[in-house]
Amino acid sequence: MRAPDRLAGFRLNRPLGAALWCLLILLGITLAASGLRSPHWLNSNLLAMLPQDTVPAATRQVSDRYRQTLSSTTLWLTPGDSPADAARRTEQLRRALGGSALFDEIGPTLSEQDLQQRYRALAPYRYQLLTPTDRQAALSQPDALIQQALARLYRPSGASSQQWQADPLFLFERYLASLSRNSTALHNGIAMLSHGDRYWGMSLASTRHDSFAIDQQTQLDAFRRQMQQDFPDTLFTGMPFYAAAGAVSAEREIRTVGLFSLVCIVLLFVLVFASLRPLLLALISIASGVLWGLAASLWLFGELHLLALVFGASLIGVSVDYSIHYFCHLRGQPDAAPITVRNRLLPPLGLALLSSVLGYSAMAWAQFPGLRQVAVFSISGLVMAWLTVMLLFPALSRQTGATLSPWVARLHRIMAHWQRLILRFRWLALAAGAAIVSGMLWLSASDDVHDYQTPPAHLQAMQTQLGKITDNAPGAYFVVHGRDIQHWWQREQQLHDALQAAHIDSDALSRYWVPAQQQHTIHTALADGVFQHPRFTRFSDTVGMTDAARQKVQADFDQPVTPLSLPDWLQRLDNPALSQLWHGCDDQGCRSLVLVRGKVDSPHETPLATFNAPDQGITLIDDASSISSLMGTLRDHLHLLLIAAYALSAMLLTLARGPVFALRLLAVPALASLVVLGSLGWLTGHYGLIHVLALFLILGIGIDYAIFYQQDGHTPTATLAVLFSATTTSLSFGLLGLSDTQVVHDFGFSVFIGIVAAALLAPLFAVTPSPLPPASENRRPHDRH
Amino acid sequence: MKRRALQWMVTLTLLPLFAHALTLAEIEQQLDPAPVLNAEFRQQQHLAMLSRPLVSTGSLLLIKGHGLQWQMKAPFTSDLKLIDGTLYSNGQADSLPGGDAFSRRLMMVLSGDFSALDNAFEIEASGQPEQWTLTLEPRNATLKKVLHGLSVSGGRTPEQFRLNYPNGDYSVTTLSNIQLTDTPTDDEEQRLARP
Repeated sequence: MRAPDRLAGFRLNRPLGAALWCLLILLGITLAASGLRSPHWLNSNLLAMLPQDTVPAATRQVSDRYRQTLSSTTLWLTPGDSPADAARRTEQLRRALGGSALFDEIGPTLSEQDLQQRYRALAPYRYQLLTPTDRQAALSQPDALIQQALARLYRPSGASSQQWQADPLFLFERYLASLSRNSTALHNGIAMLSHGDRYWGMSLASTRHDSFAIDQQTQLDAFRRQMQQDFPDTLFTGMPFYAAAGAVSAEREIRTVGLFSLVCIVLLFVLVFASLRPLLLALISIASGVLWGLAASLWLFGELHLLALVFGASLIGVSVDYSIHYFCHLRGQPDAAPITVRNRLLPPLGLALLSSVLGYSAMAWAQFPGLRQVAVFSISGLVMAWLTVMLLFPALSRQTGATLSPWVARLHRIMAHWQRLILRFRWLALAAGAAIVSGMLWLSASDDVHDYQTPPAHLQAMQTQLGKITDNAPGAYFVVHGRDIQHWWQREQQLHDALQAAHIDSDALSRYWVPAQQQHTIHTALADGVFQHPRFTRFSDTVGMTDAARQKVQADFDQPVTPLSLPDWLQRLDNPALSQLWHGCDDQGCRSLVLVRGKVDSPHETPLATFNAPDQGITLIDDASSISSLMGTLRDHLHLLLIAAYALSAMLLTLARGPVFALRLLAVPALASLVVLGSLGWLTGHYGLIHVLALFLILGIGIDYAIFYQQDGHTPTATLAVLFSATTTSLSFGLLGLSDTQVVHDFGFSVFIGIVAAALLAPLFAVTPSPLPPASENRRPHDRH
Repeated sequence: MKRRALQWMVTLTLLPLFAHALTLAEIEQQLDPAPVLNAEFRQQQHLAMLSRPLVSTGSLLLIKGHGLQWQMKAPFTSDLKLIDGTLYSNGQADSLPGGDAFSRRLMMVLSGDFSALDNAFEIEASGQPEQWTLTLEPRNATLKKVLHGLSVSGGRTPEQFRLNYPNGDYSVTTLSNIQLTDTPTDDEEQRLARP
């Protein structure tokens, strides 16, 4: 026989196995250490984990740049009972921000000089650049401009001739006002909003470094708590705070899941084996697995996503299975040497590893960077844990001749009763099946990217309140492209008009600036309709303007028209909020951003996607909804991949052991998956991408359990090994179910149900139903007292 | 120089002995506390670039702490309302810069809520409690560039106010037919309801 010969040869090389293991560990340490040297090895940016949307490269460049700005910007509103009070407290806040060394570009401060500067810089162009409404009126309804001027003049606040002389129709006043739509009032250079009976001083601050670096996250989260204490009424929001909160909670989860899993493993090992050696070896296997998970991910990706690490922490519960099986069988066969036990376990454990790897590698297929990291981390971790058991355990474990505790036999009898119970009361199985099917009927598929980031309540509450005071909160936006400036302007203008017609407020440069040709048109329209028209004479007569004043006004208007270019205009304006919208022109054309504004309590009635027209140079970037729909597509692909994974496993197992064996093995994860879907139907009613991924894992783990029952038959050793590993695995995934992040919670919960179901189902499909011990054979379960 | 300063100091120290200076509190104390005010107004704007003053007349309604309606009837009709801090011009939310800030201050002046103006203006009182005049000067340099100062005079209610602009322009608003009531009628409440 060839196989035993080969294994016998392998046995001679037992020290070689240990040496090989040492080599692997050294390699892992080297890789991990070099990866950990990068300060950004741990990434908590959620967007980095999600799939890229499919937009043209040039458009993506624009949106990436904007995202980068967003990812470091924070917005603060400090309240006060009067503008002076709010300004004083805003200044205090800004000092605190500056003192923290976490922020820079703290502002904006618009001094009186800045405003006068802006007034002077733009005044020469006041008859060329108007608000959109005034532009329209100049072209078609010059009378309306006169009416508005009169209404403005007769306001209780009146006017001073200083201002009026330069701006007889108050066009420039309205234009400047429209440019600073959010900061209608300034106090000590600080923009003030008024809401309710309070005043709110607005501040913007950018985080100093990459806001997704983990050490900064902790500092930022601590700073946030400090600020909430020092400035209790101040509202603030911004991606950095969400990222920080997510990172801190993920870090906590990793600690909890990791630590609790380890404690459970230690307790169970002590309870079952009553010896230190199995425990220590199991811990070595786990540590090697985590080391290689880290090493392979860092080597392949150069970084590790925090969420991948959260899933990775649950690896502890899965990777310990191999150790459990090894030691259960060592105890179960007191007369076999460690190497013999290893050799006997090689085929089933190999098959088990293969099936788990198969399950995880389906995740790697998904075009989802974060999941690919989870897959690589888990696969390399599992392989290394498995190799540790195979290479190191025979060399370091001893056959003590100790047998399994008597309670293992009792446990086994209970499981056997469970099996007989199901066989006897088929209607029970039928009823369970009916419950599962009816639960599945409740299911509806849905994927929402917001589930992947569940911000803490306090941040969300502030964001909501902030949204009521200012519509500054960024949401979706458009990237507009045109082959030259005129072309770009027309497209942006059309988009803005269409949005306005649908009552969607937006920030677009074309609202405030018009190309050279249009600047001439407006000036001509004002000349024809007002200043060189009897209308103006009538107007000045009505109000009683002196001749001198009238001539001065006319002379000012008759200055030659010099068009103002867009870059020049932005420079004169010196308004960062508008400057960030412009992305310049190159040989590929001109590009800008159009930001969609909306207060939280008024969602848009017309879906923004209606305005998306990439062939017209208008591309909608709505990170949340495009990724949600992308995940829906992925989910559909994964359904097919799951079926493919089952088919692949079936083929593999059929080749190895024949179709009946394959069917018996696959029935366990398949039925466990149905139980998961049924429970989800009853409990939540919806399932998404993450649940499908959980089904992949259930395939891998469920096959493990089935393999052990197939391998050993329904023996106490198999029962112990499966129940033991199911306990550790379900505990660690059950812990994920406590996570604050919805998606981690869903994943943990689904896998938990699936594992419990698989552990209960596995003995039902065992190849030889074990004969029950004579003592209990004739007794029914309920007779036992 | 020094002597002059000394003289001033002596004058200022002795002043209370000769004349009892009127305080804001005293004026506020004798104002009619009734919360609803109806009046006719007449506003005259004297601007350097105009050969004659701009005159507008109309009526106003004030519900203290809630809102103000400035209803112009001549030379044409227009309707300006400040309701709970938000300004509406002919039924539409108004976004003119400083528009609501001005209206809020106007409301404070008409309500006789002078203490509230104290942090934005330096206030000086003169006259008798029954016939007083307040002179207000902006503390804020920004405001001072636009509004040189204002004065308010009245008795049991403010009756006239004058705005002075930097280049000599000024406007005078006189209230007449002032009626004070304790509770707003349904119609009055309707007029100052949020649109």
